[in-house]
Amino acid sequence: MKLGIHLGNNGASASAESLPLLAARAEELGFDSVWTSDHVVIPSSIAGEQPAGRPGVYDPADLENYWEAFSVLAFVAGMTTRVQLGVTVIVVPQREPLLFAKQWATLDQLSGGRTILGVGVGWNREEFESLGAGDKFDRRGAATDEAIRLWRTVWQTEGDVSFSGDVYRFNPIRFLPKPARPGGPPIWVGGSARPSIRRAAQYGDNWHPIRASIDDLKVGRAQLDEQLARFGRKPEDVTVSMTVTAFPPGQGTNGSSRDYVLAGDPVASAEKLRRYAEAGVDHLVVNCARGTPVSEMLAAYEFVAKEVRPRVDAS
Amino acid sequence: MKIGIHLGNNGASATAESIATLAARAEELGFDSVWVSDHIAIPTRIESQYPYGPPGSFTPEHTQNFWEAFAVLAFVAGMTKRVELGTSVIVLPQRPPLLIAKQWATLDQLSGGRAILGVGAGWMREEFEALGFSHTFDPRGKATDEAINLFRAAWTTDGPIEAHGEVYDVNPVLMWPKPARPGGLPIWIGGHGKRSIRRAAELGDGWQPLRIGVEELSELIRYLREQLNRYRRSQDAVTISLGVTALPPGNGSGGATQEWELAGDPDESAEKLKRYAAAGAEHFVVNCPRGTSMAGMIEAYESVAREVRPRLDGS
Repeated sequence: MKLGIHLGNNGASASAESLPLLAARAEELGFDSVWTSDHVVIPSSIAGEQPAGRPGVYDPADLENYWEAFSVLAFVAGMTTRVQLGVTVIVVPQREPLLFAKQWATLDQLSGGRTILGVGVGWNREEFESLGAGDKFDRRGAATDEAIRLWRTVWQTEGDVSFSGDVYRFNPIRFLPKPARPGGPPIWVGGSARPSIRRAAQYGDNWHPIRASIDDLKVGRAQLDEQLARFGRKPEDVTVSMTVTAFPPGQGTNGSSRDYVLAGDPVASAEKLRRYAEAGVDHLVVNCARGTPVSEMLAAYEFVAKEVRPRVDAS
Repeated sequence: MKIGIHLGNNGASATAESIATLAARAEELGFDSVWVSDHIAIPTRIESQYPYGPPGSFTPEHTQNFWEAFAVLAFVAGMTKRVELGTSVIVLPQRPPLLIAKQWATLDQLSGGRAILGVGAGWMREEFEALGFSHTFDPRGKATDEAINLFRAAWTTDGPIEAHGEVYDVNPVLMWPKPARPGGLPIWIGGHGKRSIRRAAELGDGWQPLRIGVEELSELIRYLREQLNRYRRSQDAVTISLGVTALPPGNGSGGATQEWELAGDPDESAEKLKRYAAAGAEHFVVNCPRGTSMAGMIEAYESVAREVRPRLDGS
């Protein structure tokens, strides 16, 4: 199983020191990948409630210091040589798909084929509106499906290429460079809801739920296999990844009964990772609770690299 | 006087190797800055008139391999320590302005304040259409002005920002991080039309014309000075840069070169740059003709660094 770490590109602790420091440590500690998350603008207030799975009152102060996901990965690509570079997840319909396809193809080339493109449909209407994508919000699922098809079309078509969908269309263009890897980088579909599982089965290379229990993951995997059959694909066509949260030594023990919390006892944490691996997870992204200071993020990631991982690999 | 080099992010010679090699050589050779240009999707049929070369000189065959400008600069930021990182130029109205504001603030922070955002209003209707920005093509001058004002608001306002212009409508949003430099990063206006010069005088920190003779430059600088007075800005508020072309050894050394072409005799090339400097140019951006091989580009830039530049600094 591969293990990656989240660079913490949002919250009070994100800084020009923290991001390069964590990326450099990821390479030194032998992690397989580094990750960012995506918001572009933070509306001062929102009309609706946050979606399920995001409990609590909307507080822009939690989110406002959000370093742009793509910029951070491109910078980190320039200062690293080995780690994969992923986003968990990009809000697809609030970016213009051709511009995004070109930015991502360029990054995949410059990084020597190290990118992983995690995708989501988004939830914040006001953010879409501020970015000039308000018209995509109510059809964000369809727009996401179409954007993925559009990306792959321009990444795979030599010579003139055009696209004609319900949401996006363009006349013939030329699109180079292609991504470093033929066909394009792997696309990981984020989210635990049924539409996300369907999207992963139809278009994804990987299904990427966030903080699911092992039991929930098994249920999701079964749904994924059903959907894969529907689209004529095989179970091995779509792998499964997950995000878990790690705490530095001495913290987080009151939440440590949850499967996706790594805290305190390294033996128990290693056992959790083994069970996720048995349930089919082949890549785990480890993050820290929002607002964790950089020194504590480093301690948490070192705990995973030095105490937990050897116990998983040894079993 | 500063001198930078263009990384050649378009044309047949652009590769992952060429971009990384040229960026590293720029630092080694003591250049002050590295530059990229911007196109995203190259339409197969282009009826719009290219303003920086003879009719028919901008063809899909020559320009289709266009590496995305921002991705290249962010990657190069991660692998360099010293050089400034600029665009010559980004086509503003074919990207969402708040995404640009966030990406460039992130880049400026991560690079330690090395970013220079060169902007233009664009000229290719077909590309705007392909990218989903056909509505901003006709009002592209207005859109460019509004976007620049939006950047400055996003970069300097601690609390929520909003804008209700003719082109862009933004409800209150929070934008962090701010750029590394208080007040934001420098915005350089491209183009040598009068509209561009007025925009530079009103809203710019720099002005970057491309491939014009000394006499024309002097005349346009007089116009810039008048406009600076009109907007009650100081005469040194706008840095004047100029794009010139270095021909690789063996090309164009027959003496029939243009004023903005550096070829053959280093004394003659130094003399050309001195005349431009006397007319007011402060920062030269040296490129090579589209299609020059990587080896040819390196040779041309080495000759500027080792043969031409010492003759300027000594004078």
